Amino acid sequence: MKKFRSISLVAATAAVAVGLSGCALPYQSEIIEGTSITVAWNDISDEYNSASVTGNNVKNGLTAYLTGSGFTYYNGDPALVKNEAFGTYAKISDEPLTVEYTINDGVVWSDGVAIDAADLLLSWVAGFGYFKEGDAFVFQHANPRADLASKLPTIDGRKLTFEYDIQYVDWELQFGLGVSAHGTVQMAYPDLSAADAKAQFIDAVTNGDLEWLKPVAEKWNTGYQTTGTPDALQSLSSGPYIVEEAVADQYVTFVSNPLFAWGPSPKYERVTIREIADSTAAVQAVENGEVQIASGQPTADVLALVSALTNANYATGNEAAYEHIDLTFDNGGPFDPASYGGDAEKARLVRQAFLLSIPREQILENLIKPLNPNAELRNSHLLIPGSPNYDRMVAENGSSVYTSGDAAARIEQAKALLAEAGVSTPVEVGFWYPLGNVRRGQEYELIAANAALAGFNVVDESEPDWLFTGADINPHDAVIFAWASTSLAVTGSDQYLGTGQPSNFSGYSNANVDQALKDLNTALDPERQFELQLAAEKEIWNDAYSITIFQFPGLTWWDKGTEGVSMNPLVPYFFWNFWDWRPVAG
Amino acid sequence: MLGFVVRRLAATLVVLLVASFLVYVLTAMSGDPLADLRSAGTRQALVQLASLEERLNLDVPPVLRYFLWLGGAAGCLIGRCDLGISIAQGEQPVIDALGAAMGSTLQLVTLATILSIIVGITIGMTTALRQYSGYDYTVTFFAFVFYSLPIFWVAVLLKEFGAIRFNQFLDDPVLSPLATILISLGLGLVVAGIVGGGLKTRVRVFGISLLLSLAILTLSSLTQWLKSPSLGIIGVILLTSGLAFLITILNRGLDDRKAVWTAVGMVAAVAALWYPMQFLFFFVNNPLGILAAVVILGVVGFVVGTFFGGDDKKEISRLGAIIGAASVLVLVLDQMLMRFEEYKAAISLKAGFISTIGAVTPALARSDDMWLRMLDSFGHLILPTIALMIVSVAGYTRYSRASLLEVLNQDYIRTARAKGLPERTVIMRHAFRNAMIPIATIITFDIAGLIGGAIITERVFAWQGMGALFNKGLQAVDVNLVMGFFIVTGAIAVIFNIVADVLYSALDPRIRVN
Repeated sequence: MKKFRSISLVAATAAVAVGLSGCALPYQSEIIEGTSITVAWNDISDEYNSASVTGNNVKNGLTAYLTGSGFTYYNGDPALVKNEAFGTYAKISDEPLTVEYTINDGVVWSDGVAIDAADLLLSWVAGFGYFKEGDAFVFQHANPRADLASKLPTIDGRKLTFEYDIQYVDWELQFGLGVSAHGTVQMAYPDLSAADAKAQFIDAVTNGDLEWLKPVAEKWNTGYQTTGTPDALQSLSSGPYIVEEAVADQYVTFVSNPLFAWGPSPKYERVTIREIADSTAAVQAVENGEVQIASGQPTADVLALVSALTNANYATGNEAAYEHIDLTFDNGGPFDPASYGGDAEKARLVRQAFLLSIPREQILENLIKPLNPNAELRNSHLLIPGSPNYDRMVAENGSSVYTSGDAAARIEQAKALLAEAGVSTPVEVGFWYPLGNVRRGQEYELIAANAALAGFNVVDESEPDWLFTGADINPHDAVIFAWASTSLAVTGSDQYLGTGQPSNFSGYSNANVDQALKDLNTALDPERQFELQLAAEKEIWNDAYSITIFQFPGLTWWDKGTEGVSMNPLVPYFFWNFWDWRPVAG
Repeated sequence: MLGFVVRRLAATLVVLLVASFLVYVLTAMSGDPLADLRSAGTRQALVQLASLEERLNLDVPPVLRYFLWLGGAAGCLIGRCDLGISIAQGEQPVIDALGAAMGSTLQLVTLATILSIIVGITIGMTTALRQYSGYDYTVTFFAFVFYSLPIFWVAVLLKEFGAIRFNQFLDDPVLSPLATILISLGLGLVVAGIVGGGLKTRVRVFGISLLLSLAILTLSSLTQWLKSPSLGIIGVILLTSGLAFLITILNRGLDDRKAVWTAVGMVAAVAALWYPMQFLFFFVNNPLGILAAVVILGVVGFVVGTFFGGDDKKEISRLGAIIGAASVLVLVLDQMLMRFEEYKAAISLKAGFISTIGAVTPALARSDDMWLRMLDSFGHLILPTIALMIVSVAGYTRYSRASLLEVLNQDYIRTARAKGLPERTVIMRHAFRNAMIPIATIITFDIAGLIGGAIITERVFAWQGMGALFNKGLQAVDVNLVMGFFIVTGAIAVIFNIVADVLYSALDPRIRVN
């Protein structure tokens, strides 16, 4: 009875405490004082605005990730996760597509100035290319999407609402917080107070005062570039860490942001990213205890070194890039209908026969499995393995032609297809891969040997570089490529699958695919998105244009004194859960 | 002389110009600097692609583009350098990237060069003096082995054994009795080999050094001295005595009572000054403190030398000053080791203190304590310095051996001996100085080579210097960066070539240029 009473007393106190703090548990910083961790990366940030043309790359993205907060982030699956401790967003209307972003009360920059709609507005005018002078964007954003929205947002305190001009499907990934408005303005107008800076910025944007905005844009474009330690304005942070010190090409040190109280709390007081380009050096640095986490593209040698470490754990997994082989449609080669007097079906049969004769399992087994035991064949052009609809896609997209039966059976199939097409064997196929790339050289050997069984004579046309991209027409019949999916966005694949698009090097053209990918841009309903993706993939597989092989293997190793490290195929890679890194107790 | 220098300069400038053209065109044609962007296939890559194509003038053929670049580079002559932007360095101006890399390389190369010269020449000279002895053959053998070792391999092995394993050993630094005996035997043989002389002398020297090293190794094992090394006043006195002894032997010999008394006096002076020096080093915690110590002890040495000098005042007081200045090295080491425990607590290594990557421990780079930073630099520099030294030392050993042997066969050496000069004077004053003339020119060439040539060492030790820059530039087909590297190393090579020529004619009166 007594016990029960004390329990209920505790429960009541807890309930009151929760009630007092606004029905949410108060934020508890979990920083362990005096702890620090050093992480190896192959490059060190040189700009603190990772959205500008010059700053948009992985190294600056990592710094931005540690020193910034967002409405969302990618977890290890990878899947998009909302961070509602920072702010919330919602679609408030479908027609026109209208979205509303609200930053929570009490969320501030590391100098104590509140993060509010002015900051979102700065990010908005830059990201949607709102201001132009002639043809040039005033804010030189890496990917200004003036085509998506043209109406200024309405702002109200910590809330920003705007309309998309089209039903843009990737709206959730399109917009977020960037660098601070007051910091950027103060770089251009040092005499303004933070409040004035925000107010005048909002005024200038609403009135379209380009004269006033241009110095600000100038700072936004280049003012965040520095290879040394950034100054107070450049290093304003909205995230768990603040840049403390940076030495060009050597290291960046971050210290925990004492004001941070929105989102998962990191455990280490300091994080240092050290530049180590050489994988062997990174392995030895972990062995010697100088670096706690490192990662790299594994080779058999590096993996052997890493697995021999007694003081470190390691994990293998997928990376964002995936290997695929594309066949060329417009160079007069064996896969070009023009070679058969315009007989498209004949060319298709030859293409399919060639793709069938590619020993995908053997490549995976011999070259990738030793580096990543869990590696699997990738059977989708548009979806990364592990993403929500991947399994459904693979079941329905027609890739099963290349997965059913064993290799010998597929060779027979390929022979039958060639016979059906009525071409005389051996068919000569010019195969390009980057000269000097050992793995791709080995892939070529396996492919050439296996395709010979089906009646193809695969000719080594390896060259040191992407020389053919300079030519109007790709001279090679088959090329081996890797595209990297850097996000879960559903749009963007038209860049290499669409007719005449800049990254479509093979002359592939299918009106249905073009249409499906175009419709995909504006398909807001997830189910509809999947239908369109499936429609496009069915066409691509049926056309026997390209075949995906494997996801690049990744390798991360870390000191046994650290736990919570986890891989992620998407940017920011193993940094995605840096707040979970903690020293092993004891 | 001036005419000669100007002519040399003009000729090398032409060479530099032609070479720069070749390097530019070859690098530019070696690939597509924007290949990564082209293959990225995203919208933002296309925006960036367009902007970079324009900024890098990629529409101009390489042969013509060279002249655009040359125009910017020519600005350096009037103080307005424009070497373009580097795509491999995040579009940073090349000139900024060069500045940072240059500093880092100099830091790496300076110590390695000085040490290689000292060690290489010492070993080379001693082998020449003991020509065709067991010691000479052994050194020759190892010099050739080291000279032919691939540096990337040496560097990785150094990290494995010199850092990782050695650090683990330092965690519990107890040598097994067998290892103690073997190391002592080896040391004894080396010392006996260097000292030479008759069988009796050699056996005696061997015995003494064997016993001495046995004692030192056993003592350090027992006291775990290596785990937290420190000198203290006793260590300082012992080390200073050793140093003073060595300098005296080389300079005047132990027969010279005045010199010996000066050395003893200096050891006493250092011991007496040890305590007050602590205050100097504590309160003047910057390089000025070391400079002040050098001046103070140098002056003290000069005074002590003058006091004991008798009729040799000039030479003996110089000896005293040298001993005084050199003893600062011991005091500096002492200061650094005092902070050893503090240092180990500040770094993330579980055992030991030898690092395998970079130039500094980030957490310590901001420290106010110069001694701690020095200790940190030491821990980082030791391995790359050894890696660079292994090859250089081997080379210098061979050169200085050959050079001294040649000089020793000259008539003037025979004359010097014939007139009854002591062997020390013959070697140190007559032979050594003349043997150094060709070495001086080799050294100047080598320095130029080292600045640009530490590419592999820099990569393996994650040291961001000129070599790393060049490597980065080549990987990314970043012509501007490669050319920036080329200008700096090319100019240094040219300058040092001229310096070598001038030095040669200045040192050797037999050579006059007209």
